[in-house]
Amino acid sequence: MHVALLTAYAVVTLLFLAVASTTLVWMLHAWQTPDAFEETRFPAGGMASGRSFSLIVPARHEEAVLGATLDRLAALRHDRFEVLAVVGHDDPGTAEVARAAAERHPERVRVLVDANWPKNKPKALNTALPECRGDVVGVFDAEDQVHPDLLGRVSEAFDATGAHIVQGAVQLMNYRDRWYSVRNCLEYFFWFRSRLHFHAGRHFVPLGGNTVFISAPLLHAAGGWDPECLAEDCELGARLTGMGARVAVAYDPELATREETPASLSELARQRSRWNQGFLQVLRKGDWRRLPRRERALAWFTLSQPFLQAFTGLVMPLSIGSILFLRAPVGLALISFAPLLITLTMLGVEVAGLREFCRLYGRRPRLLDYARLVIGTFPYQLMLAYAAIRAAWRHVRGRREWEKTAHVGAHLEPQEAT
Amino acid sequence: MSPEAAVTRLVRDDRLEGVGAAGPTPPIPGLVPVRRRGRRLIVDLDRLPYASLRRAGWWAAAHWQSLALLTVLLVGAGFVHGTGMFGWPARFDDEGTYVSQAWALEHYGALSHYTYWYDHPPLGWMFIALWRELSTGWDDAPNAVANGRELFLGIQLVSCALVYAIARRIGLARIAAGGAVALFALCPLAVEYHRMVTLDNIAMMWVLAAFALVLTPRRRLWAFAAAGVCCAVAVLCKEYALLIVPPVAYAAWQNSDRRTRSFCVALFGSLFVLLGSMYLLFAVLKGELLAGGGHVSLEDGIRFQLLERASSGSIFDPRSLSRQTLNGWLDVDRLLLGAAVVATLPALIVRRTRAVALALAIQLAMLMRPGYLPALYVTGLLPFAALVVAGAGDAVWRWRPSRVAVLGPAVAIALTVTAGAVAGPPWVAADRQRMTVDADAPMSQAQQWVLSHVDRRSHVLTDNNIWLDLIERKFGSSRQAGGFYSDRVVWYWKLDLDPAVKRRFPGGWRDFDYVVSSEYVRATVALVPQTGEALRHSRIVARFGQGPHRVEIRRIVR
Repeated sequence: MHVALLTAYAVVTLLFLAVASTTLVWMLHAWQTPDAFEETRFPAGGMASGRSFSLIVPARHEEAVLGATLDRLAALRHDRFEVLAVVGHDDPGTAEVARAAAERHPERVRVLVDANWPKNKPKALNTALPECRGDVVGVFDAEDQVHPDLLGRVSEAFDATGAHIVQGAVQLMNYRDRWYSVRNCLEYFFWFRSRLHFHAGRHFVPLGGNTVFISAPLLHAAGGWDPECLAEDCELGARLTGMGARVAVAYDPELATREETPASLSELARQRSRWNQGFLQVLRKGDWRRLPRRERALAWFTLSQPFLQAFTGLVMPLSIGSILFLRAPVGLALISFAPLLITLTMLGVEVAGLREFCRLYGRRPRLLDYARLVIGTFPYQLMLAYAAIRAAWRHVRGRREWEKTAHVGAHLEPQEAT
Repeated sequence: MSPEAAVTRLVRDDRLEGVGAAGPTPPIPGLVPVRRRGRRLIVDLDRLPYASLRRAGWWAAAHWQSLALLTVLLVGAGFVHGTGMFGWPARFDDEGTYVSQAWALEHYGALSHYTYWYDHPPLGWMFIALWRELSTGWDDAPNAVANGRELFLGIQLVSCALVYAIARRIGLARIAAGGAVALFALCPLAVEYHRMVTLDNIAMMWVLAAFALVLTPRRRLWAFAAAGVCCAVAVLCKEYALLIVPPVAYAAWQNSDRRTRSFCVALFGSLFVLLGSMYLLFAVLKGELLAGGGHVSLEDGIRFQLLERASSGSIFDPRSLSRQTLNGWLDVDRLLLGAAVVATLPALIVRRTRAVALALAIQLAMLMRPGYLPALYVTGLLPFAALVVAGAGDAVWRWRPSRVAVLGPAVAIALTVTAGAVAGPPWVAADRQRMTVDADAPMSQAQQWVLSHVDRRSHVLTDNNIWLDLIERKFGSSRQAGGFYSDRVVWYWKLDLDPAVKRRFPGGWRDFDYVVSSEYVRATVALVPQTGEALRHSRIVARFGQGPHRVEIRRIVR
């Protein structure tokens, strides 16, 4: 075969290998040793800690779930906190539900109306920010199921770590609903249980969209969220860590905020492409360039990862197929299988992850769940690739509008949903 | 004030001591981290210039007793193993085969000097080829197998260190761990078999590495992953290592923490299975997975190893070949294996020694079963025998009955002294023999004779012991039709078994001028009729050594 072609093969294979192995190593970060694992938990409870919280809940067309969420938030076990529900001026249904909740909990819940147009989440958050009176600003989504003791533990985490930002865990729960649900749930599991801790150690953290707690003075000084960014959470993380803010990440299964997977595959793809497009915006905006060299490389790699992964997922089968088709020398063919080997190892790790997820959350995994996990690998990869390409396409075309994910409450226990 | 300046000021103002502070203490340039206190020199490890150096320093400081003991043990082991290692045992055919296969890889990129037929996975001689590459130019070993044996001195030293690490990591006292290494290095069986260029020795080193890794004291996830890789490498060196993977997996399960176990086991298992199956993939890519007309295949290779290989009978049948093999081992040394057999059951009961005892028990059970029993089988027994015996001694030492607490130590000391008195004299005699006698002299002389008396246009039938030396020193090599590399010097098996060689020599033995008849050739001649004919139609022109070990150079008379 031609030398140039062989070189190209080698480069592509090395790229695949780098993407696959770093993904594998980072997704397992929290389990490196049992000691390291213990350090990923919230600091032990019991300390008296008096921070006050302002919890912002942006809601748009969420009348089905918002009322219950606000009730649960108002019932959190903490002395000093307020809940700020932000509704759109064009969304009377949700506003109605929010106001009813505010009447039920006048001392806790306030309703703010966001008049911005077009609407998106960062604008809603910025609407609420000037009204926040707490030491710490927290964000929750309208369908979130929050643990009653979370605020106390977060407050202690601030004390124990001296961090400016505490990122708690979010976990999708309804892993049996659709064929892709189990993969989606596991993505969250590996991300919050493990990967984010790696980022915290490396001082570059793409923050999550909720259960994130930020020191209020810092957030005020930074001017809040970027109103035009589709991944406002990640953008804020990149911006604040670039300015030297420290992030603590903590995980306890019982304290994780519970959510649901998108109700259809197209919803999931749209959500993912919104995040990916947001990542591209953050990449272009360049706040991460202020980080020191190693963190900068990590930031670049993290923000590009959806696209690298999509590329890998699409091209790896082609590469292996063509190398077989072209009857390449056996040694070269074996080497071209190396990234696949790592990918399959990752599948083995995901199987263990499903077992661990079910153990931690008291579920009993069935054979069907494992089967969906394994068989769904390639179709899910195709969906991710589609989302990445769609995101890049929209980015190039300059389409920035917010595509909202609908919520039906599938993650709630039956008695809560009714 | 800009948002950035405001945030930066906020962040700076409440920066806490030690939290997220920038990196480790900076190095002090030009300062040697040694200072003088009174008459003593103190090495200040915290002032070493790099974090990795500091970590290495702390590690060495924490383990200095083990390091000192191990250094002494390794020097001793290296001395006993290395002294006279070219002369004892005499070269035997398999050693020549592996160095020749390594040579074929090195010079022709081929997996064998004849057609590769999936007899063993090829990774073992890839390591030998790597060593040949590295040692070319400066190494002056007397022959190709001797050059290979130098690598196996290194493998022995690494294996000794691994035995020590395993012993420490399963919780044996330093002295017991040292005892395990001494048994592993000084037992005459070990001196005999560890010197040989065999795939078993390479595979066992990787198995021991896997064992040491899964016993990681901090239960590191990536140590379990690396252990999976080591197990795969071991099996790709010699499929026999598959027997010892279950005990390694058991040790992994035993040593992993409940909180991280799922992932430790997943990585270990996935990497082992996936890397191991690269061998299958290799066969698939070559179109040689399944048996078919006119080509070699993995299926045939496995079928041969598992089913078609002639059984050597049961070790309980006094006339069987297996019994002869067993007796061959016991003639060299019966003490270590005997003690290990006795200690296996108690070692299986004690939790800490259970995994290594399991490794021994599985192999002993396989030994009891009638089937093909190669002499090299003992290689897999030795490290675990040493560990089980040392582990039993350690358990006795720790045994403190409430009334007489000194009983355990007293019994342990008595046992050790008795063992030393019983095993010492025969081991010293046997090891001295292995360090001083040149059993390879007949073969070396035969090699020299052929090199100086046989015309380089002659055709020579020989075993693999000197095949490569003849090629490299006189006859040269070239690629032949069908995938072999000399039409002057031919490995005698192939004249009967390799179709490409048969095509090249349609006259069979009549196309040859000389046949080198070694003990091994004579022992296997019933399986290779062409060589039988060559021996029958030839006369001795030179003869070296006496009795069954003699080597004859015979001129073929057509």
